Amino acid sequence: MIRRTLIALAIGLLLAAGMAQTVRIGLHQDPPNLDPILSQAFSDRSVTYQIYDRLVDLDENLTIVPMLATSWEVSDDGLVYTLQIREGVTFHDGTPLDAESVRYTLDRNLTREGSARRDELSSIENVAVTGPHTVEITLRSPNAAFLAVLSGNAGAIVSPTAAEAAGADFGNAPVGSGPFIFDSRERQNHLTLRANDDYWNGAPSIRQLVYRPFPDADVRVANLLSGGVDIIIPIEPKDIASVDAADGYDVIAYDSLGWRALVMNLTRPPFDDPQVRLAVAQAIDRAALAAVVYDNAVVPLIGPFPPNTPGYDPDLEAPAYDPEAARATLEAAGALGTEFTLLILPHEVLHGQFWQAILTQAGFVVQIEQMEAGPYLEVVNNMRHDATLVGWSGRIDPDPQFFPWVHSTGNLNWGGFDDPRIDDLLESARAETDPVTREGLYRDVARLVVEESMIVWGIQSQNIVGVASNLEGIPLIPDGTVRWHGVTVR
Amino acid sequence: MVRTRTPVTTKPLGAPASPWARGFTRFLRNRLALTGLVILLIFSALAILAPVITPYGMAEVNFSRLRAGPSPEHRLGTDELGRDTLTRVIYGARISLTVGLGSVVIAMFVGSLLGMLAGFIGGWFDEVVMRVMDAMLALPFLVLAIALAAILGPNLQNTILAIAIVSTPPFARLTRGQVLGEKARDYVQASTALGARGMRTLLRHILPNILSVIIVQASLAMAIAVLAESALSFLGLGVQPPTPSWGSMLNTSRGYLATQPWMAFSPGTAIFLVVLALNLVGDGLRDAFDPRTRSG
Repeated sequence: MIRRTLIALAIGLLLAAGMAQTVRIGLHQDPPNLDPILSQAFSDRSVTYQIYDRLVDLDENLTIVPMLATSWEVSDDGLVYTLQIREGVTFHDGTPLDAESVRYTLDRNLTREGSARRDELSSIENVAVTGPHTVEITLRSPNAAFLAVLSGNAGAIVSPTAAEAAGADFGNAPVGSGPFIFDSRERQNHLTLRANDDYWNGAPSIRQLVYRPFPDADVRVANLLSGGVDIIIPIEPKDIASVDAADGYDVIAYDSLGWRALVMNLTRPPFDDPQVRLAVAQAIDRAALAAVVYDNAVVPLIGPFPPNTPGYDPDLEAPAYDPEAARATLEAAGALGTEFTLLILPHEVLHGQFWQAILTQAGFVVQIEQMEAGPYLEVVNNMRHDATLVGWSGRIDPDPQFFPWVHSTGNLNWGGFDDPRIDDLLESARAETDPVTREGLYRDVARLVVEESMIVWGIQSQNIVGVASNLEGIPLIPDGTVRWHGVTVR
Repeated sequence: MVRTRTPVTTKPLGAPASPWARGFTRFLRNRLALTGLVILLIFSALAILAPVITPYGMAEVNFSRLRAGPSPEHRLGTDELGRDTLTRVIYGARISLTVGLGSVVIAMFVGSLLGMLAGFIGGWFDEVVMRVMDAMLALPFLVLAIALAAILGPNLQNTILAIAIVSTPPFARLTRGQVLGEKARDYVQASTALGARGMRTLLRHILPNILSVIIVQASLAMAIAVLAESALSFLGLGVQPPTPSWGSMLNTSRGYLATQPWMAFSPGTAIFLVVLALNLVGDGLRDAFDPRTRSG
């Protein structure tokens, strides 16, 4: 009897220990692709950052810190980067990580069909292996954003052996050198990673990570509060109070690099008229936006660079909020009663209705059209919209932060920008090596765009996660992706 | 009891009370059905008079009163943009009743016509029409409605159209069966023997005899249509903001169930009452007019 009780107790303790070592993560979507060259979704990075080490990483202050590259040197002309690659690192498949793996990965990023990393790395002219653990990267032109890019999926080093063997299917059998190893996945159900005990920076304390997708924000919160998962990324602002009030759960909110803004189609009426855009800019009450749509969990933002990022300009001025002036501006432009359709993604209904309400007061007639992500992208990429609300996760360098949105060749140019003044400034900034001059150029672009109300920014986004109180040591890195290696379960 | 039967037996020279009059009397004696009718009349009056009786504008926002509970200024509270819930529930009645009535009228007209012709003409026409209807019935009602609404695009007209299309097959099947039954009856054969042409027989003789069954079906179909409209709006496939619909109000309030439960209460109760009322009226009409289910 006693023996049986002891056995049961032992099993119970083992189970409890096992449970405590597993962290279950609720995401807002099933990560679409775990191959770093094909990944385009924010949710992917929640997983890829655990499986792959990147050449460099960011810390909480957005400083670039060593990861697989232990040190780096940049030539005086800004064209040659010499990276020392960490020794004694092995991939999950047992093969060693060396300079050749880095060269292979960067080459794969640049040449593989459908690579989403090609643009980010387009300044690379040549990658040379100059020692077993030394890589020399030569750029076509100086690019001050280069190291920042390597802190993302573009710098995620894959096992050449595994990548060659898997081919196009690498996203389903990802092999890196990170603190967690891909274990199994069932699409739309769960994705499991297990601890890498041979990790160069020490075995992680968490033994297993299980990701589960909950597209519906309310279902996500319900799963957190019922103990179904230990953390949800993200949590909607409206749920902050209830999660915070719940016993054993905390809300962690920290600045992100991203923003929400109204992007107008500048290529056709009504928003080809600067006066109509000025009316929009005068109508937006950012304080009310933060309060109504985001429960004051976010702060107003008037330009493309949030205060925690380079390019931020404390002296930047947007047209002041003044509903009467907005109406007067619209009337003076002979555009009272201007009709337009505001295109939104389905989860932005409240945000959309907020803009609809304030712009209606200013004298616009606003129809809302909701579209799922697929058809939505089809419409905005082909400029068939009047205006749309966009959310941007943000980048730490002003170039990837802003270039895609406002350069005539930008891949997120949903405003239809084709302005030589903006293109010239952005191109000079890309080639500028002096960081102060370079930042000044981005401020000039931002001022131009804000002065002419070409994009109307609303708020700086926040990373908001709901988490069980027994998870400790979650690093608050503004890019919003949790690095699980150092996290412990109490 | 005697009172109502009296006319039938003591008016030997006049025409006997028509089946319609008798049915109507039976309906009025049904308390539940009357209750349903009163509820529907109240909601119809609210919908028609909405601009006059609502205390606020339909889309009038007030950012300083978000998701407030019931108060003297806002008797049913406010929503996530500070709009008055009472106002929006009343305007929501317009959408629900418009969609319910509109879609069922279309479905009744189209479905009954197809069913009557299929039953009367028979042959290949019957085969083609009924196989199409069977195919539509094989798909779940709501799934088909969602698919149609998604294809047509979300707005009021398309919601009505989508629900009308999926509501059509039951009417067609019902009227076809009725027409087949009536066709064999003596009066139809007499009418034909007297030289009436097909269309005249169908519309003047058969239709009045099956009309009551169609109307009963219509009242029950309307309950389903109102519910379907709420479901489509709940999924964002109905009328678009800021126009209020009970379904979309319910969807919004779902996120605040734990903290502001009253937001779900008003639209939920409205849907419940209208659907219940339509079912009560439908049951009452069936009991009053459908000879097969009449007891006693």
